[in-house]
Amino acid sequence: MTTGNSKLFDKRYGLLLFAIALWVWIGYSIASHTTHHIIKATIIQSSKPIRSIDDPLVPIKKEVLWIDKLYFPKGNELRHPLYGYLGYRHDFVIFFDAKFYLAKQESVRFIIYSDDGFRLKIDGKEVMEYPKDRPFSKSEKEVVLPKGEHTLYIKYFQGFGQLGIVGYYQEGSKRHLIGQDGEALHFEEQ
Amino acid sequence: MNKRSFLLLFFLLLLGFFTYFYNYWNPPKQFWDENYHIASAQKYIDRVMFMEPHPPLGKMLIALGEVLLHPNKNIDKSSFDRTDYIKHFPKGMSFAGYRLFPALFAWLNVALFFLILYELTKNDLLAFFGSFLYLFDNALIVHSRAAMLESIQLFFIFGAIWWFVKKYDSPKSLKDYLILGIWSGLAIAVKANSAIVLLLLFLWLLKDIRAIGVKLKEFVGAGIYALGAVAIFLGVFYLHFALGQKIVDHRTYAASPKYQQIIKNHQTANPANFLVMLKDNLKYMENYEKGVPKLNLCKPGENGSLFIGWPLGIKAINYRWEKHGSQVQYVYLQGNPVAWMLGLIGVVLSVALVLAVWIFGLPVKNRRTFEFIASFTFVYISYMIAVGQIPRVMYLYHYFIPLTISYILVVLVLYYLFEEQIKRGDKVVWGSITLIVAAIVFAWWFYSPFTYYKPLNTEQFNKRVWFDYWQLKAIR
Repeated sequence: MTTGNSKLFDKRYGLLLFAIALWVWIGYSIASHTTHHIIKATIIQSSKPIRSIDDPLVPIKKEVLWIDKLYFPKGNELRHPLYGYLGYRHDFVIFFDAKFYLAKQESVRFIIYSDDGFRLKIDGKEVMEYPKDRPFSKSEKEVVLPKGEHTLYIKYFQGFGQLGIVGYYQEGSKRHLIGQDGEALHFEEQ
Repeated sequence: MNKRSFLLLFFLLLLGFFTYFYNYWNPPKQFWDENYHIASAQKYIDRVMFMEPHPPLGKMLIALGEVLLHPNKNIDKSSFDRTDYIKHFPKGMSFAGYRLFPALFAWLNVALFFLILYELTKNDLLAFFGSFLYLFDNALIVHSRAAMLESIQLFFIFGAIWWFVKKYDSPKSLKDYLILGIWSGLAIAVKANSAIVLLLLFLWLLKDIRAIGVKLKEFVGAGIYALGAVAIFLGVFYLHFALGQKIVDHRTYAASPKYQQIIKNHQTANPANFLVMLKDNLKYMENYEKGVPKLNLCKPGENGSLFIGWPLGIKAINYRWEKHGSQVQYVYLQGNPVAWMLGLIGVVLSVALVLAVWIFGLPVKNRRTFEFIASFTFVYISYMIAVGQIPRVMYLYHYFIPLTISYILVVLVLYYLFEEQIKRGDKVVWGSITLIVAAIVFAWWFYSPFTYYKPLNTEQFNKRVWFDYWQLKAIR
C-alpha cells in the first residue's frame, strides 16, 4: 500500500514556484502579443472609387501595419487577429511585402481567397491575378521555385460591399497560411 | 513603530511621490468626469447654488485646491457656473489646482495603506512590500491624478480601516467609536458607496460581544459612532448650503420655492433653514440616480461593465487619447495585471480558508489574523453583493474599494501561511516575496504609458493587450 504525507511538501517552495510562474506568465504574455515583422501591409484609402486592380488611387490615408500571417477574414470591415477591426470598408488597396527562404527547390502552390481582386508576384514576376471585383473566391497557382531567398508581393483591392483576403501556400499536401513557416519554406523577419 | 519602520514609510512616500503625485497636472486636458467635477467645484468658489448626485466633500476639496494654488486667476471661468458639464475649457487653463487634493490624498494613501498592513501584521518589512500593491497599481494611479472623487474617498476609507484595525483587539473607549464614526462620515460625505465602512462598526461590535458579551457600553459606542458619522455628513452638507448663495441663469435644480426664497434672503447659512435645503438636495439626488442610464452591453462604445467582471479587470476605459502621426498618447483606466491577479488570488484563498475553517473544521493557526481575513472577506463580498443590486451603469473604478480590500487580503493570507518563516527571515520566502514585488513593479512600468500619457504605436499597444476581455482598443 502506498501512503502519502502532505507535510513532505515544503510550502515555501510552493511560494517560490508561484513567484517564478508569475514571471513566466508576464514573459509569455508579452512574447505572445509581440507582433513579428513578417509581412509589411501598406494600406491606402482612396477617395476615388476603385473597381479594378490598376484603377488610379486618390490617397487620403496611408497606414503601415506589420502582420504575422495573411489572414483578413471575409466581412464588412477589414479585420486582422492582431489588430481587430481596422476601420476600412471600401475603396482601399493593400500592398503586402514579405521575404521567405526556401531550403530546397520545390513546387509551391499559392492559394488566395479574396474579395475583391489581387495580384501576386514572386521575385518581381507575376504569378497570378484576379483584376476585377468578385465575391470571396479562390484562385490558385503552382510554381516551381529554386532554393534560396525570394520576395513575395501581393496587391489587393477592395471596392465596395463585402471584403477579405486570406492567403495560403501548399508544400506537398500540407497547407500553411502565408507568413507561417512550412517544412522547407521559412518566412524571414524584416 | 521603530526607526526602521519610519524609514520604510519615508521611502514609500518618496516612491509614492513619483508614482502618484509628480507631474499630476499633466495632461493639461480634461478627461472622464472632470467635466462635471470641475464645474461643481467652481460653483463653490463662486458661491453659486447647485445640486448634484454625489455628497459634497470631494468637490469641496477639489475647489479648495484651486483656491490654494489659484493657477487660473487670470482666466475667466464664469461659464463653469452656468453648466454642470463643461464642454469647452478655456485655452491655457491649468489643472494643477483642481487636481491637487485628489493627487495629494492618493499619495498620502500610501502611508495609510502601510499603517493598515503594519497594524495587521506588526511586520514593517511585509507592510512595506505589501504597500507596493497600492503604490504601483496603474488604475488607481491614473484615476487619482485627476479632479475626481475616488482617491479622496479612499483616503477616508483607509483612515477608517486603519483605526478599525488599530483598536480591534483593545478595549474601546467612546472616543475610539467617535473617531471611527468621523472617518466613516468623511468617507460617506465624498461618495455614497463608502457606506460599506459601516460594516467596520458591526465587526467591532461582533468582536466585543464575543469577548465580553452584550453590554450597554457597546450600544452607547454604536450611538457615539453614528453621532460622529452623521455630524460630519450633515456638517459637510451645511457647508454646501452655506456656500450656495446665489442662483445663476435661473438654474434652480428644482429647488422648492421655499429654498429659492432662502437664497434670495441670503439665509443659506442659517441652521434654521437646514432641513428645507437638505430635503431638496436629497430629493434631487434620488431623481438624478433614476435618470442615470442602465448598463447596455450591446451599445457600441459602452464604457460601463458588470460588477462580476471587475476582479478580472473588465473593462478598461479609454479616458483620453491624442494622436501624433503613428504614435498615440493615452490616459487609459487599466489596472496593473499582476497586482489585480494577486488581489483576486487573495480573495479566492481567503474564501477557501474561511470555508475550510467554518465548514470543514480546519484548525486555525493564528486566531487574530484569521479574524481579519474573515472580516475583510465579509466586507469584500458584502460590497460586491451590494453593487450587484444597483441598476444604473457602473464602471471599473467602482471596484477600487474592494480592490484595495483584496490587496489587504493578499498580505493577510501570505502572513497567515508563512508567519513563522516571515518572522525568522526565511530566505526562500523573502526571496519569493521579492520576486513577486519585482513583478508588480515591472508590470506597473510596462503599463505606465497608459497611466502617464506616454506615446505608443499600435504594435506597442497590442503588446499590452494580454486579455481580450479587458477590451483595450488601440487608436490608429
